[in-house]
Amino acid sequence: MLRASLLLALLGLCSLAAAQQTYSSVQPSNYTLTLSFTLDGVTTTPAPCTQFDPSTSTCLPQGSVPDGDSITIAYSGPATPGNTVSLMFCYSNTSSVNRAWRKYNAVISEDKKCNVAKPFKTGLPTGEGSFKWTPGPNSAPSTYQIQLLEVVAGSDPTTYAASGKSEGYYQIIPIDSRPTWLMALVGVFCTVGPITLAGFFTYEKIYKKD
Amino acid sequence: MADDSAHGVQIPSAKTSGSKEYTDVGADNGSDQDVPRFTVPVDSENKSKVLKIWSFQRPHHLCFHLNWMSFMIAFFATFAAPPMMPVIRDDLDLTKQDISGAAIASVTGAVFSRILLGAVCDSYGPRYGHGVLQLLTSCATFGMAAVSNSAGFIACRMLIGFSLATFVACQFWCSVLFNAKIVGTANAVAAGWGNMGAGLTHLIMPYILSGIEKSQPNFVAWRCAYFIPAWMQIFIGLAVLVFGQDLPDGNYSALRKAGKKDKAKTHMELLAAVKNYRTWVMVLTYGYCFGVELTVDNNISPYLYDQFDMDLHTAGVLGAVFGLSNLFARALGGITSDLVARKYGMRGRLWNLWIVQTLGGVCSIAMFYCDSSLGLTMMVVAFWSIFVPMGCGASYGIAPFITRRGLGVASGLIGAGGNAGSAVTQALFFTGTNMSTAEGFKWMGVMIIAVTATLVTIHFPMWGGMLTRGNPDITEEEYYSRDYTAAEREQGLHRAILNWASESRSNRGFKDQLAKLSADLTEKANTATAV
Repeated sequence: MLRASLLLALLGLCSLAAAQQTYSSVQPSNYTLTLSFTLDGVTTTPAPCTQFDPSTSTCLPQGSVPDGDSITIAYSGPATPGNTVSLMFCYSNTSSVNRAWRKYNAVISEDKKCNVAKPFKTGLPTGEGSFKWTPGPNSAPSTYQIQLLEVVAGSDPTTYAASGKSEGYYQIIPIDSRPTWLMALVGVFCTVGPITLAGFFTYEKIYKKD
Repeated sequence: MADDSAHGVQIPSAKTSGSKEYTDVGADNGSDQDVPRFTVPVDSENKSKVLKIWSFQRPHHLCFHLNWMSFMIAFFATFAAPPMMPVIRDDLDLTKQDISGAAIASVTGAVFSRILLGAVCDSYGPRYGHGVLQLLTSCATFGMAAVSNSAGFIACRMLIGFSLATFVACQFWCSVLFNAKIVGTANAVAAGWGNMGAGLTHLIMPYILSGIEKSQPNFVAWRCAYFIPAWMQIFIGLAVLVFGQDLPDGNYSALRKAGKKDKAKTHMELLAAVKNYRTWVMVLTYGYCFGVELTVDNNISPYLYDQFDMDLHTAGVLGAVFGLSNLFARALGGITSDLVARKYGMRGRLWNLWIVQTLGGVCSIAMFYCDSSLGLTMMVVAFWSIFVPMGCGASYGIAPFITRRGLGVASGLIGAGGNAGSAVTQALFFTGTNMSTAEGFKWMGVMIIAVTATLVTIHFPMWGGMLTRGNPDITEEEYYSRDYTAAEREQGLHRAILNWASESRSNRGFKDQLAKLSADLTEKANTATAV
């Protein structure tokens, strides 16, 4: 009974520690990331764009979601059998300022700036590898970089052993969220209310005269 | 005889109670062709003396249900954005300032439309008030699907927010359908169920969004989701126009055609409301009642999210508690107002309002001292969510009695005061970076208590005030007739409000009525003895 209680307490402490794991526990970064971009069917590996103004920058690679542009993330780090690698995007400072829902948190599991809760790829092998990612239709028009976290095998709650982050940033051009058919519907539907009102007034006026 | 008041018509008042169909019998005209028939007990103005929420009988209860449903749909459309905000803010690349600006815009637009709608109701009737607002603002609701940036988002939220002026039509319509003894309850139930639209939209819109997301990307799905509240506005607007009825006796246009009602003089209605200082005291206090409710609805979820590190869904559900309490809390305010009025009259109504609104201020201050404990905070929120809507309900247990001629305008001004209060409070305590949200709640509570204290200045000559007694020799007829000029009174144009004045005598309270009756009987006895 005593052993079981001690074991449970230890597990509780471990889970608490894991839930509170901070980025400092996986620093310095053990992984290096290199990004190459396939834009309009052409693949390039540009120099990392680190200083930019999103509205005027010419060095920011612009991945267009409607055109199906993709980003290939090549990573290199120490191989740890059993562990896996997760990839996630991080908002740049420019895209997270005045946006509390993208705020940075030193506790990895609570960090919203790097979307840790929803990595776009999990289960990749540690060591060296690459992954081609095509941003989906729900990608926000922001500037990003890519983060890598090595997940300890079988850890619950999730514990991280290493990290890495791309040096450069890229920009996402989102889908056209106002397709022609939607705009046509809006144009038609907007007239329903005033026409209904005018029709009713006219009907009442005629009815009153009669 | 025709009159120029927007309230009531001249029909001889005699009723047969106890029968299933209550008929207002015209003893003198010998014909019942123009006499409306009702299935509920009615008073001399043909206003229902009961509120049966399960009934859809024409005209009182069918109109009651159309009334609150229209107001609820206005709230549903106005606050459809917040539950979808995580998707909208990514699509439109919004900042916190953009979102706050849109929230202020959604309540600020209604300040002006509420004032305007009071005059519309007085002149054209509450049916047109609802119908016009819903059918025209549906354009903005559909238009939200086409916005491409923060400016468009803010503009659309402001235009959709105009529909909140249906509150004025809602309160006005209840005031002309229901008797003085029950008008507080009717107003509070209708407004409370209407306000509940904000809570319902938080619950329902995410499901609509997720349903559409199965076939469309998120950024398109939220736009399509806006079609739902827009079509709801069109259907309810048409339903109110087709099935609704302005007054128990008929629509304004039909009554004017029959010569039973003259077109109202809008400027006289406006003057009647504006020159009465009680209107402005209620504008101020309602700004720190309903205004507080709107402000808290905008800030409670982000506060819980930031202060207690919750996820957005949990913060949204806990924050929705504040809006959903309107299911019963606002009605409770109206019910308590009517209950205390039975014994203590208008003085009881005023004290009731002061007590619940001050307690709301105390809860607001308590939020600051509980900011380190989620459990204590939610306990305070639970009480807070009861007192604030109760204050709103109690306010409209008093508002119908301020002026009869300018009822619509007064209701509109008071309602607008709520929105203005929210905009001011939001700007003063919840916009700057030098004050935390918890501190903002504290100072808002201090302001609530200070502003509520102005209720002591309200004094009705025949009923009294919180600290003053009324003069029983002044009649309600005299008070309400003051809104008519001497020339109008000579023409008898003030007679339309005499029935209302008679019905409102219940605000003297039981003791005062008993004392007056006793004095009258004593005088009669003395006169008989002298003879």
